[in-house]
Amino acid sequence: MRGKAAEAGKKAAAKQGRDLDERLGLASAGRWMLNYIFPDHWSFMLGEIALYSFIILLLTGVYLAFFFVDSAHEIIYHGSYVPLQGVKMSEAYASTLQISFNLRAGLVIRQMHHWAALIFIGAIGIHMCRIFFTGAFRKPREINWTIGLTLMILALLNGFFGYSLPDDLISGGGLRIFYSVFESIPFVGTWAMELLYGGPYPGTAVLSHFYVIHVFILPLVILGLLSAHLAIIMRQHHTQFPGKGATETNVVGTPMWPGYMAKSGGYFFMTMAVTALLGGLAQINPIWLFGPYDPIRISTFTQPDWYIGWLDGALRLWPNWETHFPGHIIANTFYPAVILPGIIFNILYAYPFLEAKLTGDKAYHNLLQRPRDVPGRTAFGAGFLAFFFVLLLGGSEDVIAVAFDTSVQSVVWVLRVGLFAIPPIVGAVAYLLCKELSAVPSAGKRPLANVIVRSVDGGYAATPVELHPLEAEHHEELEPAPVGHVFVPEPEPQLVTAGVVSPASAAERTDRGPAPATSAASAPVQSTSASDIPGVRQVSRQGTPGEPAPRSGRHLFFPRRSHGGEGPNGSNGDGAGTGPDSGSD
Amino acid sequence: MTDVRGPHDPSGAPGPSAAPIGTTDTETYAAQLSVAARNPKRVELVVGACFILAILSVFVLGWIYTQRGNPQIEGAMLFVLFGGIGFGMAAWGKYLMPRGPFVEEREVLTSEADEQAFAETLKRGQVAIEGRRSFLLKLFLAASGLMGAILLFPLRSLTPAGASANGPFYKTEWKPGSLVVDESNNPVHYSTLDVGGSMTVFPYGYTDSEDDQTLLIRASLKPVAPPDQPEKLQWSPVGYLAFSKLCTHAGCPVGQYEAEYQKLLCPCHESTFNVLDACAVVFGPAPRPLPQLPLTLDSNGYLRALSSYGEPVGPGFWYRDAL
Amino acid sequence: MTRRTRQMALPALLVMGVAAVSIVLFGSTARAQSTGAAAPQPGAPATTVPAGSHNHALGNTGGTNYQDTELGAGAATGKQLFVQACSSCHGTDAEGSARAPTLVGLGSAAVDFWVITGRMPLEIPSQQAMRKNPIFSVTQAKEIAQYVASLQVPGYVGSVAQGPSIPGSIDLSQANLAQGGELFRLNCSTCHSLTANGGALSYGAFAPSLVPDTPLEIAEAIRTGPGNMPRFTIAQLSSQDEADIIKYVKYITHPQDRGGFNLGHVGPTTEGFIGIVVGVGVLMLAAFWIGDRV
Repeated sequence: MRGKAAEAGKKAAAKQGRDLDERLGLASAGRWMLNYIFPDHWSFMLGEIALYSFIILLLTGVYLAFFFVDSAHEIIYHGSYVPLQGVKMSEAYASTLQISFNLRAGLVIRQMHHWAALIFIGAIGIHMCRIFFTGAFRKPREINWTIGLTLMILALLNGFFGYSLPDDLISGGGLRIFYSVFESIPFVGTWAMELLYGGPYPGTAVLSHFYVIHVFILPLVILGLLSAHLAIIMRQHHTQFPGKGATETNVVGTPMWPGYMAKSGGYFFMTMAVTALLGGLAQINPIWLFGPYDPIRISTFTQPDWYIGWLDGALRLWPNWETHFPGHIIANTFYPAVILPGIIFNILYAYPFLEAKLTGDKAYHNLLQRPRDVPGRTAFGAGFLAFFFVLLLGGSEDVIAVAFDTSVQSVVWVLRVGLFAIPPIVGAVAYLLCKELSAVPSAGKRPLANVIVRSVDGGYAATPVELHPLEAEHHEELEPAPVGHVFVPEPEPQLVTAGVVSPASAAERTDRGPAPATSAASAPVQSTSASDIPGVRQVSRQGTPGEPAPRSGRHLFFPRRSHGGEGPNGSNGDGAGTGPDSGSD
Repeated sequence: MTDVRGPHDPSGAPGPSAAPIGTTDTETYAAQLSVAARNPKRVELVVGACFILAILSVFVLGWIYTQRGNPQIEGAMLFVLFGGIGFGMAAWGKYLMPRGPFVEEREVLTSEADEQAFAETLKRGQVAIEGRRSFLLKLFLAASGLMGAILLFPLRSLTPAGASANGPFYKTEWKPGSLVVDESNNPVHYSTLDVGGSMTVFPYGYTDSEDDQTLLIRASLKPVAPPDQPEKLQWSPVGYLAFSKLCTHAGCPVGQYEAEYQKLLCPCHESTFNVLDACAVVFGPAPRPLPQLPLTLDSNGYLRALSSYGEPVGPGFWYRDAL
Repeated sequence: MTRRTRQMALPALLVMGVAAVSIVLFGSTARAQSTGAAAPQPGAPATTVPAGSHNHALGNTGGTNYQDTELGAGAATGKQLFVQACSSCHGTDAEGSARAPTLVGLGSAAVDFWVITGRMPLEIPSQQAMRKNPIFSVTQAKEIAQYVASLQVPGYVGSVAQGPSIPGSIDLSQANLAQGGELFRLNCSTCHSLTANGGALSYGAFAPSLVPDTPLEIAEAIRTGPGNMPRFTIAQLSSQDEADIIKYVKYITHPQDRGGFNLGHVGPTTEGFIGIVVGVGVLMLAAFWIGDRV
């Protein structure tokens, strides 16, 4: 009975699928999609945090847009929050209070929206760092770097417009600063800001203009650019780290179906889970405590959200210079808040082309570099990040001054000096660390465990452990990327008991030749070691008779494979190790 | 790379995606398809438990929603709901799905032949713009360009009619004789503030005006002026000083009056002004001192403005020096 | 440690040392400047003697109830305590010295405020006075205050020249929370922050957090303007206004945190930190688990 129903159901589904395919031609493209391979490395998931946070922003944002009123019209509040009863405020602020106190899921969704914005931009930043430090922006991916950078700037802007919508005292102060900064632009500044704000400050329409931009224009542009970003990735295929058989012309990893859909879909829900946890348990932007915006009221300890905080820091740390021409001035805020970010973003936009010119490297690159192998770029990036963080600290100078019981003046001067002193130091340290790491062959690699075997007369022998094939996957050593220099491995210390560890196998183990060497090296070692010692029982992890011998799974994906050596000592000899799977060219 | 055909080859021949990615070796393929977990039963239990937890949390969420909602419980239950589904899916994908490894070849993005063919196809349009028709192309571009420009004109209405970039913008409503009032339009008598007191004042009738906001300070019992500007003693009856509250840096209200240090501090970017020196800037990014409003007392002892501000208030902008 | 690391260590230590020394230098410069708190800056009028201009309490209009200071047995005990604990800096007759200003004419509320919040006796003279456990009981503090208030300002008779008196009672039953909020956000939040957590002022001075303040202390501070705080007169803030503000401060220091854990009410600084460290951080840990490590 159930079998019949299932059969019928399957038949119906198959027929539907065929109908769709006949009309839309989905089969081959669909298959390409399902077969698309994603690299397995965890750092490829950072961009997904951003993508999923954006989806959360869209979903929660739609809900909020139903209930938010984007009007600056002043009303008297008579809602349920008692400390603001009878206070004059804009309808926007009042509607945000309504959402926070009178809707059953209003506050949790509003807070989720705000936390998701912080996570969104944080994830973009970390994702950008991953792209930068591994060289994923090189040809042919310069366009995607440009798109990604634009996405970041649009996300920053959208975040600013978004948290200014509730019209509370803190974000309103930010609106005033935004106005002053952009009206300082020569020629067009005052005119442009009047257009945006609907008149001279405070303007009649800033909230409704911001609402249209935040809900409509910028999300559409971001969606469009995001789609292009993803489409280009799929067209070019992901980059990948060298090792595990990765080459410039293939991709090794998990296919979209079913593995990656499950993992990535799960990751989407985990992102939602973290956002929901923060949204429910960690209060963010409690605008009811701040009161409605009023141009004559202000507070101390007012910072913008962190992704604008670096610009606030630039404003705070900049000296009080103003440029005067006959009849005109370039106001003070123009330099730290327009010129400085302009320079920073232009450097970032130009970087792929600058680096290509400097290194003379115009080749296609689908394999990534480890940061340690490009110390110059890593040092530059580290210094750049340090500069950004000093600016970020500058935005919270008064909080720092009170927290550390010192004066604002000293904090400002330390940060001003630090802005120039710290990035070169950080860059130099990063450079030297890279050199250190590249000079030590085993840096960052997990050494294999040793099994200690005790002989009857008390001697100890060490043999590298035989790994379960799944463990072998995780203990896979990263193939060193091709570097210009040749390094000489340090010699293994010789154990006291001669003959147990043969120098030959030691050399194999340390320089990590073509094969992962786990099983290949262990076979000759075991044959010369413990079994030679009388009375010792071999401790091994080969399968018992009857169970299939364990294999190290990595080098099995080429049709041409040698089945050699499936002997009693276990693993298939990976003579294939010397073949085309040697990985990086 | 050997295979130049892309995934949408119109010839209909199966591309590289047709073969099972990985190997044609059935034994190895079977190994690829085996699950990754060492203990699949345990993982299955965990994944199942996650999904069950998620289902249970739905009921709690529904119940709390009928109870007028509670952000903390909603957040925690959403965490269980999404986390359960998410963790379950991810564990399912990581441990109970084909182990792999899987490899696919990258498609070649382009080739000389493709580029040639594209250029040839483009040339098809050549005949439409030959001879006199090339002028048509120029006219078309002109029309489109101008169309783009004129379609931006309606955006001008974002600013209401009458507002101009540097007109009444930073000219305040303070005039000679303006009565100094507080936020509720009450006049300020000279006995209102004690030495060390400060308040926010406006010209009478303009308590809603952002530009006119002025900080009134009683710095002393006697007139106060910078030592090198004794003429400003007349601006400071019985020790009252009035400065524009709009910071000359970025327009925040300069509210922090340090009564002991006799400094005004703007909380936004920590610009510091010396009250006794006509608010000259002593620290921070503010480029100009706060404009001072000259004060006087009328016959009843109420404070009035002696004249308006001598300069535009607030932050700088391109046309400021011309005003 | 490779040779390169060793080569790097010395310059790195040098730089760190220079940085540490400069931070200490700047920090101590800041502290030194805040000794201005103890002595008025050159050119500044004597802000601690508000003689002649002071507005005394004018009746009870709901809210704070001012009582006349009682001169008598309280003042005598107060004098003993004063000579014991305060005269070494303020002089035996509160006339002031090189180390401390005169207290004559300040009125009992000011003295009471400084003593019951523990700020006086001053712990570190080169720093802004910090709230700490008071060494005198409430009664003793009142007595000291009454003594100081009994000292005559030269040239004046009676209590006209005295600063505000200790409020007798503070009635918050008629106080309007919303009005208090409006006044708080106009007059107070600029230094004390919107959630009354305090704020930074210049040269090492700061506005303290209002969380530990009692209504009496808030009332006294508003009227007497301790330290860098401005002084708010009855004409500027009526007794009703004062009660409204006090009620709002008591609320905002323990406000309704409907959104959950309040992260210290510091604002976007901590929110950003948590968003990145907890939000992105936890998700990165999840990525470590889902993805491969090599």
